[in-house]
Amino acid sequence: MKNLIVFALLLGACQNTGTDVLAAQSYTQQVTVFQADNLMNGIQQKIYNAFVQGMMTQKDEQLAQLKTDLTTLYKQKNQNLIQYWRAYLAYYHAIYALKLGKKDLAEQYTDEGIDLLDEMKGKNSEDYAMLALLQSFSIQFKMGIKAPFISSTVKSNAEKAMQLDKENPRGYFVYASSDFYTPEQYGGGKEAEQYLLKAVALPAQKVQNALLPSWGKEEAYEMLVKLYIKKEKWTEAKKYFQEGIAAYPNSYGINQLASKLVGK
Amino acid sequence: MKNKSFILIFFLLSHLAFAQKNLVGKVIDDAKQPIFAANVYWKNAVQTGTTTDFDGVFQLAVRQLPDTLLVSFIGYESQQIVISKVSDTLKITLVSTAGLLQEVSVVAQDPISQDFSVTKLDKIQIYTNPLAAGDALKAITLLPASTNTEETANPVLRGSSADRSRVVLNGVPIYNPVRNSQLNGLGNFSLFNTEIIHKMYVYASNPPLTYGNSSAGLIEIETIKKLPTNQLQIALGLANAGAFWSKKLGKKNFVQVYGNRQFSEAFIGLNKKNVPRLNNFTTTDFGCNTFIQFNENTTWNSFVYLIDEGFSYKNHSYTYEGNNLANKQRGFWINNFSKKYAHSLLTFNTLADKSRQDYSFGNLQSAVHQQQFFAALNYKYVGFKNITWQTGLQYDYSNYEANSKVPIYFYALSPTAPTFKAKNLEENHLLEWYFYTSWDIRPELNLSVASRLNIPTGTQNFHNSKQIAFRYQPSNKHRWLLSGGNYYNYSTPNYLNPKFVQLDSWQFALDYDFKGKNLDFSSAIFHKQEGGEQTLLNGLVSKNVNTWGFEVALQKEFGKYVVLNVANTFLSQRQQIGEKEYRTADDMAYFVKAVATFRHPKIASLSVSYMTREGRYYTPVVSAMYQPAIDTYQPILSQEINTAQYNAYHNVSLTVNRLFKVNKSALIFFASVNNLLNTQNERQFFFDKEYKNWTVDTYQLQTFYMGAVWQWNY
Repeated sequence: MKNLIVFALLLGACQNTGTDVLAAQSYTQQVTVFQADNLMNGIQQKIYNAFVQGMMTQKDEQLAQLKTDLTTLYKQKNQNLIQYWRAYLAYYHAIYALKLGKKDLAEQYTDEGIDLLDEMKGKNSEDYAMLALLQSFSIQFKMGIKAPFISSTVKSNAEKAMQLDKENPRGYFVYASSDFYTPEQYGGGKEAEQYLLKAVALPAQKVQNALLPSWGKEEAYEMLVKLYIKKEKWTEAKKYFQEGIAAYPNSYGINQLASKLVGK
Repeated sequence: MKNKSFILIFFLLSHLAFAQKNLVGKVIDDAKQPIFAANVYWKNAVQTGTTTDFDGVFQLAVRQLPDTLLVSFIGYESQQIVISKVSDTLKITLVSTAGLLQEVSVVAQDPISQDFSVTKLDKIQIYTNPLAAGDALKAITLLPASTNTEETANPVLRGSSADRSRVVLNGVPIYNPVRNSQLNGLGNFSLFNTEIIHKMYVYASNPPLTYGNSSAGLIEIETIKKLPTNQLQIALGLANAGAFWSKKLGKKNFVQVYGNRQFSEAFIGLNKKNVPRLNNFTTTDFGCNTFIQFNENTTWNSFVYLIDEGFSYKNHSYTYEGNNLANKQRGFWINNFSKKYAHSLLTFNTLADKSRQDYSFGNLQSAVHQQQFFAALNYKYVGFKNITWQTGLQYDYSNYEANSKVPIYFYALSPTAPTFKAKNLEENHLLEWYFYTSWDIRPELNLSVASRLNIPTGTQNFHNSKQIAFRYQPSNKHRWLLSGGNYYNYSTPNYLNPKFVQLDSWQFALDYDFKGKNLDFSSAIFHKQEGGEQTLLNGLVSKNVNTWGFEVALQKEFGKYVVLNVANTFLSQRQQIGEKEYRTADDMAYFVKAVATFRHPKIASLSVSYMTREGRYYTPVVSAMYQPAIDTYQPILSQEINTAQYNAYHNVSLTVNRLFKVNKSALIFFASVNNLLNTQNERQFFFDKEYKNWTVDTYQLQTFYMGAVWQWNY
């Protein structure tokens, strides 16, 4: 009996501890527990990891596998969010192809991503931001005739993203990005700073959610520092470099700017 | 022992129950579909939460009750639910904010009718339009819907006379929106500087009834609401010198000021052989556009424009040749006040427009004063279930005062030929109320219905314009527009038709657009029946114009730097003169426009355009009868109207420009050759005294133009 009481007390102690652990769990942890087999759980990181893996091995097997998995999942579940991640994957697939010098393939992946979102009904702020990102990325393949028109489409979609959710940093980042990369003769380079400042001032996600996008803020820091370096505004460049690196210490993009700020 | 065991089991079970104390629920949308990936968390423990699975189901550990459960997802209104005890599966419905973008549209002040414009152009599209020469109204020339046969910038849409269509700037109509329209090829010809333009919507037919006084089409132009940067521009061309300055005033306010001077000496000097009739022209204009944002929801825009223009050229009419002299001073002031609310937008727009014009040619002399006042109060509301409606009251006052010496005989124009004095003072008060509803039945299907009625003043009849339109857009690639309606407008007086004459039309149009990756295609079929009497140049009175038209246009990209545009329009048009029906001058079996553009940012932009159409129809002079009283031969026109035809029109033109960028400034060089092949396109005939011989007056011959623009962003 004594043993039983000790066991019960131990069990009680364990259960209490367990409850506290649950209570302290983040979204990711709870979702991991609750939707452990969900392909979508932490999908942004999965896609990024597949991209990094692809760059290291010069093979896109993981990206291709994820693409197949997401396509299959979309056929089963028919959810806009899956379509969103297919488009996000297409974006990284395009970067991968571009880095390997396969420009035509990169253009094809970009167009695939754009088509996925273009045809989507009931787009939300994130969908518009992603569409604008892909369209902005596509400008490099369409230099010449279409460039100025794509640029205005990018801005229009980024504006929709911002209007639909004023606290979505990705809308501001994509708008700024489009302006940053638009040649001045087509009206670019005038608004990037203000929109990047807005993007870095916003949280990456309003509520932590492993199924939803959180990109954009890190990239906004990187672009903002680049912009200030370009303008030779060294005080601002250093300020936002420090802020950026504090928030994203492992960011390759921000880290690589350090050398440009040394001695400034 | 038994009791002890019971106590122990109870103790264990209670702990297990506590351990499994999870809240289980399901999140669905207003269409009862599960929402995947929605955030579910406790208000008092924001960092602890979960998300829904594909079935919308969530399971969330319970900490301490009561607490408030927060449920949110992108594109839906967040929900807060107070939970005092854990019960059965909780069902939570999130309401979609799909209408939000519509509300945003209100906020962005997009026109309620924008879905029904056949094309929408922004500033960059105007600048890069190969036929526009940077001018907003000329940018529509490439559209198949533009059936202008006079080489002017005045919009002629789907076969209707320019005076039946309207150009609206910031919600107010600008009547006669062009300057020196006969001097084609010299730069800007509308009254609008492209730098101040944000967007331009072209309604080729079925003008939206948010605006009145149009029985053909409508062009709606909006000025910019946001100035990206301060800018200074200096332009110098063969016939133009101008400056443009944009300046931010604080964070959101700005002012844009510009002025131009047009002069003819250098242009005539270079093109002397091919502009034999042009004596001289001068234009001086000034514009100032100011935008003030008082707060997040309240704005005011003011645009002031002043122009002083004059020209002289040798003109012919029947047997008389002489100098045609004109000068005109005009000024207008547009004010736009706008106030946004959560679901609605209130706008108040006003226009004051005043001009005087002196004109003389032979024995025709006229001095015309015109005034226009316009005020409109509009209210737009985004209601429930994707319905947006707009209503408004508009007052349009026109005053036309002409003191003229008018030839008694249309064919006797020499300075000694008899005239009569005509004094006209005409006024028109147009007070109208309208209601426009736009219903997104489904995301791909929209129905718009509108009505507009006048509150008759003076001798006006009551009229009620009405329209109905459907837009079906199953994907971003395909769009169908089906629209029809009954419209009214009043003609703008001139010396031939010095009164405000009520005109009307019945129209229907079916438009289809396809947007592919490298290929855009559009097509339209339309029919119009236009009523109202108009005196023609030869003194005949035309009424009841019946038009059938078919348009097709294609844009195809070849590689990254070359694009080809081809458009064709078929226009079958009949008019009633007397009791009989005749074809109109603009009846056309084809009107082809083809433009090949090469645009490379590091090389240059080069466009070659080719326009060809059937020659216009005219009524031939079959004989002449001497009138001794005025010592002039009277032409006897054929009884069969518009049976003869000028030769087919052909025009090949070339434009090229190159941009050089240095730091914050850019230098743009441009050059153009109009009518490169110097084709003699017949415009009209001039006769000798007895109508035995004639010579041909042509459209513009080969002319060269060039210039440069320096732009500095700071």
